[in-house]
Amino acid sequence: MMCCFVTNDAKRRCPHFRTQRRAPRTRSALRSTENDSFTLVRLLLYGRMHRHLLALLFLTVTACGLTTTQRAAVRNFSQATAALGEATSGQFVQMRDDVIRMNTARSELAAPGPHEGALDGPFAFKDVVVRTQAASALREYGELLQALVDDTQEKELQTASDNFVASVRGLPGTEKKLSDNQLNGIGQAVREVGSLVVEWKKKQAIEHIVPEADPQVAALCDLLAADLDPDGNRLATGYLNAASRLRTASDSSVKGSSNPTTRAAAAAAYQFAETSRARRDVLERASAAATKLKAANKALTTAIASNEVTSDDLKSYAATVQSLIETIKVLH
Amino acid sequence: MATLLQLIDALGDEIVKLPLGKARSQLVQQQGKLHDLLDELVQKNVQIDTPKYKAAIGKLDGANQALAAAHADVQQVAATIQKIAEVIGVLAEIAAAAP
Repeated sequence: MMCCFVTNDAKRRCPHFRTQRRAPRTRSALRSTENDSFTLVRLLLYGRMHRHLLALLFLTVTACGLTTTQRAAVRNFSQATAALGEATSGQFVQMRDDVIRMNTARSELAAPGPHEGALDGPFAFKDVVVRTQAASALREYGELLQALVDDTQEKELQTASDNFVASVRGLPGTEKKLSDNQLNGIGQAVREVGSLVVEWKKKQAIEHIVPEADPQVAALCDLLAADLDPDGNRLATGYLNAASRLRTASDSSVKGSSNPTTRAAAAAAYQFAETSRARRDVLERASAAATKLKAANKALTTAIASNEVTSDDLKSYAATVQSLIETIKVLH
Repeated sequence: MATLLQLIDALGDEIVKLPLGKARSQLVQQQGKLHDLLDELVQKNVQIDTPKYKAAIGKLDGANQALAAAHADVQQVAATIQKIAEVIGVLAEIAAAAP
């Protein structure tokens, strides 16, 4: 376990390790040499090993885990990704509902006869479900990334360390050789070792997974950006096309109908068409956020690999998503 | 260069300014054809993209599973220390019982 923190070469040079090798063995210690776990305890018990170990662990903590900057970069990216995933998923569902409403209203205002085309237009259920799943997968990616970075296991390590100390206290002769302060020191060392292992494992996972996921995140960002772009000739375009159709049809009905009920329905439909057309701004922002997510993911990958400071892309992306969320809140 | 949707919208802006009549009807008819063309293009693109989405989702799900596994791995650290504590406890009992 320690090999990730201290190299063999460092062990050879370190006077604390040399001192440790010369430490006298007691009868009970000799009895336990065949047991690795007991040997570890013995190492901690003799001399002032645990104090030196603590100092060494503090010195090596930055080499083993993510740096503060990297953690901030991951947290910034993952929070924004989770927020975008949720907002985007809601957009697709709402666009489909709106399109059905708009096409239904247009059908009701039209002259008697068959209605051409499906009421949900290009928002076929199977296609919308896939896009919602894509947004959910992105959101889950952000949430899992954040959970991994934020999980310090502090409480669990404290409990495990307390149990560890209680077990050591139970060893024969321990109470004569170790003061409470020394036992607390051992507990602290165990906790610190645990924290370092946690941080090291997190870094290993993130360094492996983030670059691996980069192409998939990029592909989904491209697809979502195109779908949400009002001029991308995909779903957002289909949505605004339906709104444009309804505006013309309802305007004709308002102008041509002498029946108050029909005119009222036409006026309501016109209002809904204009409200839907006003969503162009939200869609543009959502599309821009998806495009920036792609760049931010690439920047995150670079930051993880090179320990560089959080790039402007990440900051810009977070600001764009924040702006999108605020716009959506205003519209609801 | 304006997109097809922008042209349709611009045409719509002109239509709603006009009173009902022949000129308006002709514009509405032309706009209707453009609406149909755009819908057709959108439908086609949406259907082409759906398999691309599915492929990317499948691979991202793999990354999500790896993240969940890594999280579970991190949670094992405290459990491992706990097990070591248990081993020491057993050793203490054995040592105490030894002659």
